Amino acid sequence: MNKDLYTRLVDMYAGQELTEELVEEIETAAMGDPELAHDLFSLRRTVDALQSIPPAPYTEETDVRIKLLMQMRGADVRSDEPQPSYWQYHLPIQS
Amino acid sequence: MSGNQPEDTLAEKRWLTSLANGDPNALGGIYQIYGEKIFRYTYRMLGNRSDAEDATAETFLRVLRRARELRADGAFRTWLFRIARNLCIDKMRQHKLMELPNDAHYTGTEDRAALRVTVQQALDELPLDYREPLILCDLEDVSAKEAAETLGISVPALKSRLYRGRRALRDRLGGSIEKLT
Repeated sequence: MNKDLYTRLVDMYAGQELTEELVEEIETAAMGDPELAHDLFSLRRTVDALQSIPPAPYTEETDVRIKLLMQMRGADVRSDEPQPSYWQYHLPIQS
Repeated sequence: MSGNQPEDTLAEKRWLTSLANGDPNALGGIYQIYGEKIFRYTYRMLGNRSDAEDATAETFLRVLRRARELRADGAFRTWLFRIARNLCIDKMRQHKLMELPNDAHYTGTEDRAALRVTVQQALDELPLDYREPLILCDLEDVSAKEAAETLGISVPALKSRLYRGRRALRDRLGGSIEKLT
């Protein structure tokens, strides 16, 4: 296989960008090719490991501190929904 | 990047219009949609809660300062990430002078937590050109197109950096990768 194509396929495999058919095909090829097998699975594991890093905990304290920082610098960070336009008109009271 | 993308897009348009029309309260609405995402991104970039909070606040303040120029044309999110990115890079330059501690910590079983720290450290040691695509695409689930626009590069260049970054990360992890399940 062309070296560039080989690398590209391994990259796409690691990023889960290949179709199911291509995944099957490349995994079958890897069974008879230890170098390909190592490349495929170590790169996929690397991506999995990376994705196992939990997101930063966005706590209530963080939310409050960020809003406070904005307020201290003159911003208003209330987040009430904008009033729908029909609220601007008073409907006649039916009796 | 968002669980409620169509609703967020509608809300984003509404808030941006309000903000451009001089409603200062609209910033709160925009913050409600993007605050957590920007904080997570800045935290990944900086590894420090206090700096990430500061960078997040400053990102939204810059939105407020440029409120009159805003257009709800779909490019807002990319622009927002680009502001956050520039602020992170500024802070990272300051860190190089001051060496602030990385306060990232992880939960889970001891082994897994240790591995995550190893992966995080390996990620932190990568050159920025590799680290940024990994953070955006692999960690924050930003599309290749949006990540490329945020970084000011083409999609093929982004993909190339992403792939090289993964390989560089694998090389740095070395034997630790065998322990990962």
